[in-house]
Amino acid sequence: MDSKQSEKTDDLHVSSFYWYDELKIERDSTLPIPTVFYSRFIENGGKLSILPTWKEAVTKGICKDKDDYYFYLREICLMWSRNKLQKYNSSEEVRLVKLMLVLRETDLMMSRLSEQIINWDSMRESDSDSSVKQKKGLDPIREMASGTGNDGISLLCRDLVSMKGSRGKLVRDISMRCEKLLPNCSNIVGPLVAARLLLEAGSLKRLCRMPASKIQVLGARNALFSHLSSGSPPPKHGLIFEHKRIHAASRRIRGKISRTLASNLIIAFRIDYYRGTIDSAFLERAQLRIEKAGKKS
Amino acid sequence: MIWQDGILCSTGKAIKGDRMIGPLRVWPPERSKLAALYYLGSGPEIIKTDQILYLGAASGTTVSFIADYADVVYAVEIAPEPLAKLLDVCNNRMNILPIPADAATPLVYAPFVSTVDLLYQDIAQKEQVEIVLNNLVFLKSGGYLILMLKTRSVATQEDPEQICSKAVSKLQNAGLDDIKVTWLDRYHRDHAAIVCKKRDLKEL
Repeated sequence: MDSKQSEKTDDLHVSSFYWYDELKIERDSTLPIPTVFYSRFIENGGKLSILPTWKEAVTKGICKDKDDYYFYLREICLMWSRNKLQKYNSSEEVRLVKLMLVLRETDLMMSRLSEQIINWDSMRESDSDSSVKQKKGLDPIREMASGTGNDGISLLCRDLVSMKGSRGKLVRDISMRCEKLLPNCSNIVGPLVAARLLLEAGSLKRLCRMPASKIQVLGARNALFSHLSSGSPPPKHGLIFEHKRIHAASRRIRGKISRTLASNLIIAFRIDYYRGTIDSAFLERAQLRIEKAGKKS
Repeated sequence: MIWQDGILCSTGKAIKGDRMIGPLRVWPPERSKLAALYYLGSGPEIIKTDQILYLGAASGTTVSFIADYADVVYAVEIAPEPLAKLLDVCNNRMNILPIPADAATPLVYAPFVSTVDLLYQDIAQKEQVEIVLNNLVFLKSGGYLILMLKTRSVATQEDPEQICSKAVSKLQNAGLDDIKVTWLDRYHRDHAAIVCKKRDLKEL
C-alpha cells in the first residue's frame, strides 16, 4: 500500500492543471467563469489535477480574493452535480426501475389489504358459507364491491377493484418502456419478467456482467442461500420460472430448460445493453434452442 | 465545539426537522456518528479556519453541522439520490462544495480540492480503509483523519474488534500517528471511530 501511495502522489504532482487554469483569456468574456470552465472541463475529458490553493488563483488574477475563489468553485461544483443528477434522472433505465418499485409496492399493499378484508369477511359469515364461496372461486372483494353497502369495508373493496384497473395500466406502461429498453430480452421472456430481472440486479450494467447461472436463480435468493448454508437442493429457477416453457414443463426437465433459457437470456441482455437494437437472427436461434431444450434429439 | 447544558449544538441556519435550543441547532448523536464521537469525548475540535474533506457525504446531515463550524467543506458523494438531498442542504450554506464523484477515484476530483486540515470518511464499504488511504494526499501534515469504520460492511462474520485492529495497523503502515479508537456502540452498533494524525514532516 505504501509504495502504491507514493507512486500516486508523484503522479498527482506531475500534472499541474487546476480548475482555474486556462481561464486567463476568458476572464473578460460575457460568460460567467463556471460555464466557461465547465465546457473546458468536459473538453479535456474531465482530466485536471491536484491541490490548488486560492492564493495561486488570486496571484494569477483569476479571482479577486478567497471568497471569490470559493464562490466560483462552488458554482462549478453545483453545476457538475446538477449535470450528473440530470443525467441520472433522465435515464430510461432508472425510470423503469423506479416504476417497478412502484409496482412492487402496489402489489404488496393490495395483497395485504385484500387478505385482511377477506379475513374480516369470513369472520362475519358462518364457516360453511365461506368455504362454499371459496370452492366456487368467487372473488369476495369483487362481490363486496358490487354490493350496495356503504360501510368502510365496502368502500375499501371498491377502491381495491379500481386499483386493480390502475395496476393493469401501470403494467402496460412498464411493458412499453421495457420493450423499448430491452427489446431482445422482452421478446424472449416477456417485458414484465425482463423488468423484474432488471430490478433484482439493480442496473443493466450489473445485469450484463452476471454469469448466466446467476440470471437463472435471480429472485430465488432464499432457496439459494439455504442451499449454500445448509445443503438443501439448489434452486432450478428464479424469476425466469414465469416463462411458459419452464412452468409448463415436467419437473424433471425444468432445470435443463431454465439453464438453456438463462444462457440465451444473458446474451440477449448484452445485445440490449451494448447494441440496443432488436436482433431477429439471434432471437430465432434462441427460440429454437429454448424449444429444443430438454427434448431428446 | 458549542455545548449547551450538555447538548452538542451548532450555530447556523436551521434545516427542516432540526431540533432547536433557542437559536442553536441540536446536533443529535443518534443521527450523526461524528456527534456521537464528540459525546463520547474524543473528537478533534473543528475551528473556524478549518478546511475539511468529507468522503461519503450522503444526504448532508453531518455535513451541514460541520459546515456551521468550519471554513469550507468539500462533500464527496457519488449516489444520485442522496446527492439531490445534499444539494438542498447546499442551497442554504455557501461553504459546502458538493463533489459528485467516487471517493475511490481521487484523481477525478483532485483539481477541485485543496490541502485540508481534516479528512473525514464515512463510507460503509468493504474497502473503506483503502479508500481513505488513497485520499491521504489531500490531508496536510499534522492534520487529523477521522475514519468511521462500519465493521459490518467490512466483514459480516468476523469479530468487530479484529477488523478494527487490522484497520489500525493499515493506518499505522501508511504513516499515521496518535491512533485512537472509540467504539460508538452506545449510539451506533458495531461502529468504530478511528481518529489519527498525519505525521508532521517538518518535525522529523
